[in-house]
Amino acid sequence: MRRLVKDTSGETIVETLAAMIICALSIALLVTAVVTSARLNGQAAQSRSDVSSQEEKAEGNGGFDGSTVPTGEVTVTATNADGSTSSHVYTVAFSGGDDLVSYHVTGVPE
Amino acid sequence: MTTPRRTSHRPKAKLSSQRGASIIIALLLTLVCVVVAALVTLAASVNAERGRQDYAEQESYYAQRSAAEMVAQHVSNLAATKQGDAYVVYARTAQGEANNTAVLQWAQQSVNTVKGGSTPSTLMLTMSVTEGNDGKDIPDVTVTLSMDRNYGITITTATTGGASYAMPKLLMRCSAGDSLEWATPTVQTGASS
Repeated sequence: MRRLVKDTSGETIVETLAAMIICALSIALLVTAVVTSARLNGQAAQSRSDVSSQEEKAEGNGGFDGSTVPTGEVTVTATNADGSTSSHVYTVAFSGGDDLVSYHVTGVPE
Repeated sequence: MTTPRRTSHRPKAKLSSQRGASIIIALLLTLVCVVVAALVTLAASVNAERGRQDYAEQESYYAQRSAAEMVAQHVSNLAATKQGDAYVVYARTAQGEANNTAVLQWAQQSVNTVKGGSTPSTLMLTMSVTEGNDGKDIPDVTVTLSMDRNYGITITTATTGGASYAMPKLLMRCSAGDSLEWATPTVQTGASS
């Protein structure tokens, strides 16, 4: 006990400060990684949530989310066995949203 | 006056010495933090990447489904009647009447090829949204039609470029007889008969 009390060995202030700086940097690194991961996960969750309602509409050809004009044209190019090709353009209506789109024919080919 | 630092020469004393331990503990903490940070970041990146992959596959799925439905609708509208030794394929509705397309011509050739006991050639259709997509990336779809010996039509779809959804083949069975009509498509589960 007496020996412990008289013992003057220990760490210098420089060692202690260096250790504290290293600890602080490590924790800052960890916090940054956690915050970045949380942001990435949040973005992914938001994206899934946005797409969810569009999926329902695209699945059932039932309406459209977003600002896109919900009609358009699909060009069908047929390639026969002999290599000859022919094209027809169909008018289609889009369903879904700005991110996910399905379409179905609404008009006869031009 | 500086006091020289005491050094332990005995191994046991060295092991029990706590001199400089704070640096070692700090470095160990750094190691743990780096490993945990790397794992957390990796997990988030994998999650985000999987979301992107799912999204690309969904785009591919809807493009293929739309194309397959479009072709199936077209084929459902076709019928064939026997006239003499050959079948004549025609479109049943007014809308179909206007569809004097490659599908009708291919079906015409194919049913008579099958009737003659041969294997008909396939028809490849490339479907691309050329207007109204407002800059969105709707992938082009390649649809391949083939006819089996029971006049059933198999629809195979695939998207070009990017992540492609593995769409199952669709089979439109045919009611054979003096007239031919194709039923609504079902997912093909086994080998075509």
